[in-house]
Amino acid sequence: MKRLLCTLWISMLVVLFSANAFAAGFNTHEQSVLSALRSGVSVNGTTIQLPAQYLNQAENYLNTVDLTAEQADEIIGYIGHAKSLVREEAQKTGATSIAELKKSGKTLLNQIVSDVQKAAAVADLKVGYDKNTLVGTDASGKTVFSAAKPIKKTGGDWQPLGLIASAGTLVVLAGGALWAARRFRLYEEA
Amino acid sequence: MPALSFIGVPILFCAIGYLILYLSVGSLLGTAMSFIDLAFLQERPQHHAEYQNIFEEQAESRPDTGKLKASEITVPGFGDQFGKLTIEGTQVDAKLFFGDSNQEFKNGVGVYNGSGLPGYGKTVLIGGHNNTFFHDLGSAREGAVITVETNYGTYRYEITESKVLQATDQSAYDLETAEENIVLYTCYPFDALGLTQERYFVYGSYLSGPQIDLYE
Repeated sequence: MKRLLCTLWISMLVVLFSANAFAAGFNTHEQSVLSALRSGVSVNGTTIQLPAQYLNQAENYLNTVDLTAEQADEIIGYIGHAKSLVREEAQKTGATSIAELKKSGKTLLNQIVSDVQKAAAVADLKVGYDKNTLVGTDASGKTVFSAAKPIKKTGGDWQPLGLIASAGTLVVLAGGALWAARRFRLYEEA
Repeated sequence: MPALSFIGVPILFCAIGYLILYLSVGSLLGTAMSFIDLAFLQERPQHHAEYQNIFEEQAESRPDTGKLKASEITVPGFGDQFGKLTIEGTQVDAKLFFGDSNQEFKNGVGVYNGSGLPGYGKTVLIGGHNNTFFHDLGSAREGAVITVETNYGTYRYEITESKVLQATDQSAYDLETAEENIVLYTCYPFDALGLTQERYFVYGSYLSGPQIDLYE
C-alpha cells in the first residue's frame, strides 16, 4: 500500500510537471491541492493519512511551480480517484492504516502505475522504479519525488578496502600453500 | 608439482600484486595522467560542474532574523548546493545540498527532500557520511550551535541531544511537527566501514533565522 500511496503522489506530480512558470510559494490553486492531499481518506472509523514525508515533498515541489486552476482541478481529480481506490480497498479488507493496506495485492497498484506513466509521458515526465524505489523526475532528470526511506546509508565505502583485504588474504594463503607443499614434500622435486 | 611452483604461483602473485598496486595507487596514476593529458591538449577542455551552486559564500549580507516571502527567495532544486553547515566545537564544515542521494553525500551533506528546508518551520533532516563531512559529528556537544548558512538566510540551532538509534527507528525524527528543528545523522560507529544498522543522531532546536511564509 506504501507503493500505492507513492503512486497517488506521483499521479499528482504528473500534472504538476506541466506547470508553466517558476514562482516560489503556494498560490490558491496549489493550496487546494495540498488540502486535498492532507485530508486523507476517512474509512472504517478512522482517517488514513499520506505519510508526512510525501506531503513535505509535495510542498517542496509546489513551492517551485505555479499551477493554473485547470491544472489544479485535474490534479484534485486524480487525487479523488486514488482516494476512492484506497477507500474501496480499505472497506473490502477492513484496513485502518497504511500498514494494513500493504497486505493488498499488486494488481491494483500496477494499474495505477500504468496510468501514471501514460500521463507522465504526455507531460514529458518519467515515473518509474529505480532499484525498486518509486522515483519521479522532471524533464531535466532532476528528482522531484522519491519513496526511499528518510534515513540513508551514510557509512564509509568498504569496497576498495574490502578488495585490498581480500587480495592480501589470497597472498597469505598462496604463500602458506606453497610453504606447506615444500615443507611436507607434497610433490616430488625435479 | 613443478608447474605449480614455477608457473602458477608466480603468476598468481603477480596478479595479486598488480591488483594491490592498482587499488592503492590507481587514483594517483589517474591524477598523473591528467597532468600529462593537460600538457598535450588538442582542444579547449570543457568543464561541467557536477551540481548547481546557488550559494554565495562571500555574500555581503544574509538575513538572520525576521520573515521572508517565499516569492523573495530562490528555492533549491534537488541536487543543488544552497548553503553551508558548521557545528561549533567540531571540524564539521560542509557544503549543504538539497537532496540526499550518493551524489550529494559525495560533495557535502544533504537535506532529505521529504523534510523541510531551514525557515519552513518543520524538521530539517540532514545526513552525511561518517568518513567524510560528518566524521566529527560525535564531537558535537549539547549547547553548541549548529550554523546553517543558506542562499536566503542564516539559521542557528542549539544542540539539545545526541543519541544512537537504529536506522529504521521512525521515532528518531518527526516529519509532521510544525515546530522548526534540525536533525543531523550519520552512520555509527563512526569508524564503521560498510553497512551498519545504527545511526548517530544530533538534535537541535531553532534559535534564529528568517521564517519563510510559503503562502506569499
